Amino acid sequence: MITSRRVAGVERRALATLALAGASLAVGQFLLVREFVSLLYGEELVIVAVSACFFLGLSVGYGVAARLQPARLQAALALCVGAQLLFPAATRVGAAWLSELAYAGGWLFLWLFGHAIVFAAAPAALLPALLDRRRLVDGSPAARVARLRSSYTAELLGYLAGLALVAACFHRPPATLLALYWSLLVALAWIVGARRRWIAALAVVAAVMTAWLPRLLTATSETVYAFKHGLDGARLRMSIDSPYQRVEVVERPGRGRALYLDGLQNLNASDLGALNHYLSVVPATLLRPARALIIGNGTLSAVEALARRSGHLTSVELDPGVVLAGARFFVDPRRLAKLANWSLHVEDGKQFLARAEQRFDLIIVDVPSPLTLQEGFLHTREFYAQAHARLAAGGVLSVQLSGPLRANDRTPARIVASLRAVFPYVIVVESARADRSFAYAAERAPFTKASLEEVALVDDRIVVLEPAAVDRRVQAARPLTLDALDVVVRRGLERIVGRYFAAEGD
Amino acid sequence: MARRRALALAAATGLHLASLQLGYLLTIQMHLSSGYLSYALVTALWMLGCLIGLWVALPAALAVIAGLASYLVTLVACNLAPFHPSLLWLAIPAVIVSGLWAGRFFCVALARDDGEGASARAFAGENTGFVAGLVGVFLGYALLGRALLLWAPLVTGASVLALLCRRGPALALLGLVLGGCVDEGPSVVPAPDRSLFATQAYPILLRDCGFPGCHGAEERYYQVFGPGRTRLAAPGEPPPGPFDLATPYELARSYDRARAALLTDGDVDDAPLLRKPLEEAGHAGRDVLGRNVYATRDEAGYRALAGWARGLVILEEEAP
Repeated sequence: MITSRRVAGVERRALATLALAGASLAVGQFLLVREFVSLLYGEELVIVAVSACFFLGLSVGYGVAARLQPARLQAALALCVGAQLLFPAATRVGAAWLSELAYAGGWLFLWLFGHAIVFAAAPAALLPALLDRRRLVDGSPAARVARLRSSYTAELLGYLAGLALVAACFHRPPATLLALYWSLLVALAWIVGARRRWIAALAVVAAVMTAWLPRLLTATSETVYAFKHGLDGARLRMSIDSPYQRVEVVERPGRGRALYLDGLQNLNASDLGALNHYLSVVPATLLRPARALIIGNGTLSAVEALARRSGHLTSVELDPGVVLAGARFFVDPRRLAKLANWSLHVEDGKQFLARAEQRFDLIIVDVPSPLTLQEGFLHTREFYAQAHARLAAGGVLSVQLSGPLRANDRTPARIVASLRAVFPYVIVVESARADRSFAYAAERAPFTKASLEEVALVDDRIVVLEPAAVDRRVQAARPLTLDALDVVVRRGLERIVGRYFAAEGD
Repeated sequence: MARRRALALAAATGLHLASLQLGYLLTIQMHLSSGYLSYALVTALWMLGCLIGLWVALPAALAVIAGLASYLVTLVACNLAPFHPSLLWLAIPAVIVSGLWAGRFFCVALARDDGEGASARAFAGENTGFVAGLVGVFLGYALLGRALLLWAPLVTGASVLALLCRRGPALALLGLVLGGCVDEGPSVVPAPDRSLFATQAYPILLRDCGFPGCHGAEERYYQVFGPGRTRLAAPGEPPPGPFDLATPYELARSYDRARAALLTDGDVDDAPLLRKPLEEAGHAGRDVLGRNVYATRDEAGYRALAGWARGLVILEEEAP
């Protein structure tokens, strides 16, 4: 047995083990959550379910810790490390295959829970196993608490170091963090005293996998897009993990490029033109704003057209990863660099509006449908009131409704109800080509129906709903507010059930 | 029995910590920023609090109560002054204080429970409670709104205190929770007669309150605009001339602000609009001799305002 100096009755080697376990847990949690959120698609419900599964994996580890002999714990840890070397290649291929089976949702969530146990249970078991084993040697309450303090501190500091490692790898391909993670795991297996042959084998496999990782990740990601998303011939052009989500650009022959955020398609090249036309170009053409603001639109695809029609344009985007993808695949950054009347702020739109001193003639909100709380906050009555306060006299707020406006209580109607709670005048354009409606909100009519139709109608079928017709459609809709974001759960659940649990033929 | 109690304390602690942590995250995302730094800051500060809680032997109940109080102060401040730059400086120590119990709990649990597998029990119980809290608070907030972010930590905090002490603080907190649960219904802004406002109250308010340096300014909570005082331009229109008739826009703004200043839990006489201009009330708008707007409730101007607030037509020489 290796002996070492002790801190509060705990061997330094044990403290190093716990610190490594803490770091592994932090990095493993990030990798697992990001991978499965991306595989199951990033609604908030999925994010919460995946995070909860990881924590349940920890509980399983804590639960079995007392029953595991040290030798078995070492073996379990070595096995877990070995299994994790197959991640995420085997995970992705497995998920693609499971998604083809009947009851795919059940299988996929079982697949997730299995991963959670492999990722979390063994490293989590180390701390209580160490404390409870030591308890048999010296059982006084003071000694127990002293050992807990030094041991748990080591694990927490390791966890913080793991978080720092994760942050250092933002905006890099997942392969970078994975390679570091495997090094941590092999070191952990070594320090807990797994057999040398096992350690050597794990180190060799990790080294080989690391060398192949970039090609392996691309190939397995394309497998997921082909089988799970049904995108034949999909080619992955970019995949990075930003602080907020996995940002991927996928290209298909004849179909152009598409941006995927946490596995959900955010936009594709074919509908991007229609989206930007109605959301940005139409109001900017009608208003010719001296100052325009666009919140969202991280791909920057609307910037050039808007800047041409505005005195000055300000872009605000939260996620630098999306800006990076936009600049590489959706716009020509050299042309944007030449725009003298454009500025870009990477920050939260709400925060920007709260601290902005200037007023804008046109504010465009180009953010995804409220499928997460963060996105939901940008569709609330409170957010629209913030935007209203920053509009100049005669200014207009332009919002995309994520679907056609109908007389019901669904997302587009609820977004318009939120707008109506703040703005006396809301006019809506429904576009067949964009497959959604767009709302323009103001204090009073900023343009006539005729002028709107004249500018808006380009190779499309559109319906313009004037304020009275808009009001009739949102009669039954409740505004989205900071206290009424149930749509995030309801719509998320609907989508998950429809995607994974609906009976065939539904 | 002791093991069950230990497990219950661990689970209640997990629930409580989840409701505090998620409460902080959601509140800060809503009212400060959804940026990654907010998440990183809350996580790092929480862990710092946890480390301090591990090493500093605070009384358990004090750690729970201080953590809860810090959270409530942050919650109230964020809701009262969203996006205020000082909120961050308030949240930093608050999150650390709330994290104290996350560390202190394990010391308490291990000192109390000397049975086989005590650590595993404490960690498993706390973590499982945390998972339940994570899911519950997310669903609760999405379906019930911000009220959940107030009540969930109060209820879970009371449960932890009840399991810790069986008396005193838990009962007090429970009393607070139950007392707060009495539904007094929503406050409704009064809506006294609009046309009576234009003829009876508006001229008085304009005359006595609408000076440019006082309530004839958009920076003030209570505002009144019109002829002879500050003029208010409707969006997209030029401001009216100094002595033009009051515009519908000015009348509407002045009416809305006046009825908002009539909101009160008690009698209408206690509403700010009718209380602040009186001699005995605190009011910055006193003249050079230190006199408030009205010496008594019998003054004609005051009676015109109070009459409008109660829906009464006051036939006075001063009320036009």
